[in-house]
Amino acid sequence: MWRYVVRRVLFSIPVLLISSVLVFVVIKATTDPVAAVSLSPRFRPEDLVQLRIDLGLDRPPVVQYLSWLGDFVQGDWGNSIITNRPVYPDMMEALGNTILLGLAGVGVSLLIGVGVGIYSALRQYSFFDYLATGAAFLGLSMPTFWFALMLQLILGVYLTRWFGLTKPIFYTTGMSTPGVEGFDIVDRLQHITLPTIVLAVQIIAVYSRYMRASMLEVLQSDFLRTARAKGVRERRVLVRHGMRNALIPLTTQVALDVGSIAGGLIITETIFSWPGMGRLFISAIDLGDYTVVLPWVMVTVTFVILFNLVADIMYAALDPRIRYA
Amino acid sequence: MRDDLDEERGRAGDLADEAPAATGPMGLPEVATQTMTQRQLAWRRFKRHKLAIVCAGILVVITLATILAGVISPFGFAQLNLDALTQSPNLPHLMGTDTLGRDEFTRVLYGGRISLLVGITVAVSAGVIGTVVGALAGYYGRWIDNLLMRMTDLFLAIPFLVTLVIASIALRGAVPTPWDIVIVLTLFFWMPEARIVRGLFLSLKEKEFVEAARSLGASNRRIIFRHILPNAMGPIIVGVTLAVAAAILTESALSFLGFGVQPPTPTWGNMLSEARNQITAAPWLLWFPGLMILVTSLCVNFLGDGLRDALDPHQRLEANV
Repeated sequence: MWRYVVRRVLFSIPVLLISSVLVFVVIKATTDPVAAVSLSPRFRPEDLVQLRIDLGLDRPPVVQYLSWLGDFVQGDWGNSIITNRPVYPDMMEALGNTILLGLAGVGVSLLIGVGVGIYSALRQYSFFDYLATGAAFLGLSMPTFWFALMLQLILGVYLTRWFGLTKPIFYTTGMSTPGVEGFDIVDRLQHITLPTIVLAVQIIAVYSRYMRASMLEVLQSDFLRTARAKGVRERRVLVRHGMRNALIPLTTQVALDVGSIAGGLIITETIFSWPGMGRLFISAIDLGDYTVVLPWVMVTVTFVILFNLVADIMYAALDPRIRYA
Repeated sequence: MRDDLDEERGRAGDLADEAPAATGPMGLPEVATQTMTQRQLAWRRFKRHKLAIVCAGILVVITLATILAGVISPFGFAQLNLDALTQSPNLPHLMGTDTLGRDEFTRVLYGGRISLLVGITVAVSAGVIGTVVGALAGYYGRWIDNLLMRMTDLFLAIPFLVTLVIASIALRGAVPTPWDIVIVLTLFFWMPEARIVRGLFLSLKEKEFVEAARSLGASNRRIIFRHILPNAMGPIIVGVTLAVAAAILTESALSFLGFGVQPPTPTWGNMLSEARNQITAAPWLLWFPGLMILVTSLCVNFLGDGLRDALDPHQRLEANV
């Protein structure tokens, strides 16, 4: 087991390095940090040349890459070319907010998706099963951004209007009400509910189908029959022998999903003005703030690769049969 | 899991009932052993999937309506009408009008053209690329497999929308045309297909009929195109169908973020993006394009599910909804 883990960890280092080269090349080829300010009348041509030198853009590409990589690893991510604020602390804050939202979405989806999936499997071809299947198709076919806008309209605007409330139950933008000091759990919940629902709708659809399929497979397995033959109570058969094994394929999927959170909530965050990575990216693109884009892409790619690793190791740890595949 | 075997048997029974009571040479009733081609069998399985048939019908109607937009609607998609600004749905304007008095119904029809065109083109071209990559990797194995699959993993590792946004920055300067969007989307849509096809080729190339072909001296090319590919076609078609839904959703998301097809050319995505500013004043502008995207992708997904039952009966893994 440990040999597998060590080998897998070591293997991901070159993958990360190669990805960093590719990300660097692609971002450098498509974006020019100086372009954003070059239109500003406050910059003279000499200033632009000086800016290029300050940013180190006059050096050979290989030198640029190596010095960037060195700085990046040490947490020196440079300054935003628009606001001149250091990128690192801002991005860490955004990452924290995104992870909060993403984990809320995945967490809610796990609770509901696993429950629905297991129940569907136990009552295969029942009315509930068909209902769940239909709902899953609906969730997968739903355009996220439209669903988000409809939620804002119905739960944010209409609900407040119908009940004649002075304050909405669910807020449609931001993470907390301006003026609310410190951490207010009720206020935070009022803000996080709608974006969480948007995220959960799609993920629940996937998880419930996954869970249903793997539970159906487990229900037909010999070890479940053995357990029943030994006289284990049905409830214990289903939970301890059935569900625990059926959850294994899902854990991999969950790990991969968590990995894609960092760069994956762009639309939801944009619509709900959630101050996370997605919004940071879109505003950086809109402003031409390309010094933010490079570390941003690198962070999100690292996240994906890291959680791929976690998924593989978890899979091997949970199911000894496929360890040496 | 339904018992496909039982159904096969049931179908053989149906067949016997339907077949005319022909008599054989001995005067005995000939047992219906009328052979059916794979295609006929698939069509039979598909027909049983009522929902898929209905959805295919809806898709045909939507497609025809968008193609015939100019005939169906008396308005132009960019035709302003200052006497009918921001009207909720009424008689001449079935889906209301927007803040410039443009007829929403007309715009939904024209927008559908782009959305469907982009969706189908992307799915087909990505399907071709994915099939080529997957076939090469699966058939030849070794370093080719390693190289191509690591490349696939890499494309999968980069967050999808990010690459699309960056690609459309690279295209900036020029307003992206629908074809630019097709190219950009295709570049990031071929990976799932490549994985599916690779898996199919890996298992099919070990089958006896391939061995038989090889022992008869068939070339690699012949084995790939005449022996393996036809057997892999079912899952490939299913994959392409499901990709159409994904491509339509992605195109609309991209347009919604403002990086897709630009106004005044309407697409369902950029119409929603514009409607967002009138979310309380003109909610109908939000309803219709969104419902069209939902209905279209839902129908494509159901159609894909029906096709999976029909073309790929062994592969009916319930995990892949």
